[in-house]
Amino acid sequence: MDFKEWFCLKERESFIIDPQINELDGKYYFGQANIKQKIERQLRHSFVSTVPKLQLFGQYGSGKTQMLYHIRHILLNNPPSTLKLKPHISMLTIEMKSKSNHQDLHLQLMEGLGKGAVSEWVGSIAKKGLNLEEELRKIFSDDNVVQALVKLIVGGIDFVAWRWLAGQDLSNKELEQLRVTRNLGQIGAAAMVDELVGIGRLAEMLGEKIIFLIDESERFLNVNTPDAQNSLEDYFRELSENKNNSIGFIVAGTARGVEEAARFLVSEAVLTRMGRQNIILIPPIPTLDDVKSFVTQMLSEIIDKNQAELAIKENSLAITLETYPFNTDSFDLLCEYASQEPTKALPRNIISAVNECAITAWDEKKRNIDSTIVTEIAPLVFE
Amino acid sequence: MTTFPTTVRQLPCVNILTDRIVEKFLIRLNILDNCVTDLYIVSPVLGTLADTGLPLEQLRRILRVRKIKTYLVTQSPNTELTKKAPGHTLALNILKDLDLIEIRFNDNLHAKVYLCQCKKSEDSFALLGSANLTWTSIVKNIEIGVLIKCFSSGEPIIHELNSWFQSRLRTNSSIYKSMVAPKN
Repeated sequence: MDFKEWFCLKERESFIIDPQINELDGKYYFGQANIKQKIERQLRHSFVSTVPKLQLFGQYGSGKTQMLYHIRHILLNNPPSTLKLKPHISMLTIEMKSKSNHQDLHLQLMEGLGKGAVSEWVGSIAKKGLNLEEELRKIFSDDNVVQALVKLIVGGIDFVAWRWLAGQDLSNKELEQLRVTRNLGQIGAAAMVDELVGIGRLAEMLGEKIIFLIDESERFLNVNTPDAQNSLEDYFRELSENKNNSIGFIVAGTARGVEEAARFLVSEAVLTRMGRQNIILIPPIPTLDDVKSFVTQMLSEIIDKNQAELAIKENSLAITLETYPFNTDSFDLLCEYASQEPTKALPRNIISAVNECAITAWDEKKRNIDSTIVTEIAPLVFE
Repeated sequence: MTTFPTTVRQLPCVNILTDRIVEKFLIRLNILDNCVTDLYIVSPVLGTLADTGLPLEQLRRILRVRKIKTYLVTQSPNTELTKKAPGHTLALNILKDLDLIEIRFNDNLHAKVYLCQCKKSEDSFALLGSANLTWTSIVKNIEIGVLIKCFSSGEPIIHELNSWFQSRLRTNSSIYKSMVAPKN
């Protein structure tokens, strides 16, 4: 019998919830009902007239990545009624170095969208038998962008066009080939955002709504040159403007509050445009009852109830189905440990503690997790 | 010098190592002062690493002082392979006194993986290759390994290795020594 069978796990090898490994785990968001409701509300409202422009902050292990995957799950499987188009979701983990600037951000967003998707949108307009250049000019005010998009579906030059659209610097010869007058990022962030917003409109014409889910925004703190920071602020400010109603973005990063975030992500100019209600802090799980509710929900989702019922009966375990594989005492003890130090009552810690307790029980060939195991494991995780 | 296809050499998150590869991994770990939180060592055979850049005694001090949680999976001391390696039992004896170490045995183990998790995920790195944690593999043997750094396309690889270790290897290996909370 393997670990999975031993603990009657449903479709998983361990108690770890990790949507980065198992995409289906995105459907879970345990506990923190108020945060979940707040985010769902903001999503619902945002699609009425514009797109979601949200920033999530929380300390390490507070469940930000899980929330991003959960949002993705909601948008794909149970979207708010206000979202009328098919969501085109691009998830990316941002990379920022000391001198990274608006060009690096734009490149990552464009690569997140993908050459294939943008080419397909341009190609779909062309296939309608319309004059492509004319149609694109209705969306894009910059003729250079129009020229590059047209070339995106022309074999032989499509990669040069994509590099231009993604904001990479091209040689004079390549610029001539594309029939554009300058590189995209040359005159600042606004031109790049305008292009991206235009691509968003193009996607909308074809029934899709672009939404970026951006993780690890604390990496913006790596940027330490003032020019680069200013250019990134420009990019975010432009993206947060009301005129952008075609590119949604939800950014998540480690910070205990806005004061710990990169200043250009939460500058007055950005915050007033995004709306302060769209800055959401995910705190640790506040009370003992909340921790209990978190663990109960988690166990209820990942344990195969029928198998567990059988295991309880066959092994005469003095435990209830609700807390399986913990008995009542060990369940209470674990939750108490988790809620002792408020800053440590984090989803990552709680999940890890449950998994470590189970591995210890497995090592000791125990079918249930008793208080001795919790006493041994919990200090390693929570102290 | 061994040459590799340009595509591999140009990947910023990957370095192919051909010389003293485990030593390079350990030295990298040592350089990341106070950043490392967890260390995973998967090596069928162990040694004391005497006369290398980071002998096991010194590694143990680093692990203890910096409170690095260490998870070691290796073969038990009585397999055909480990019986021939006198340093294996010595190495286990050096490491087993650490509080924050978990040691597991798996006699079918052939994989060699080293993974270092850091406070900032982008500092994490892993080594995947042919080398055991022994002096012979550092000094004598021809070994090869891939050092993967946790950014760009390296990030999901490290994540996957972590998941394999946590969800598969640990539960399929028998416990020899559990981790305990350090006594203050």
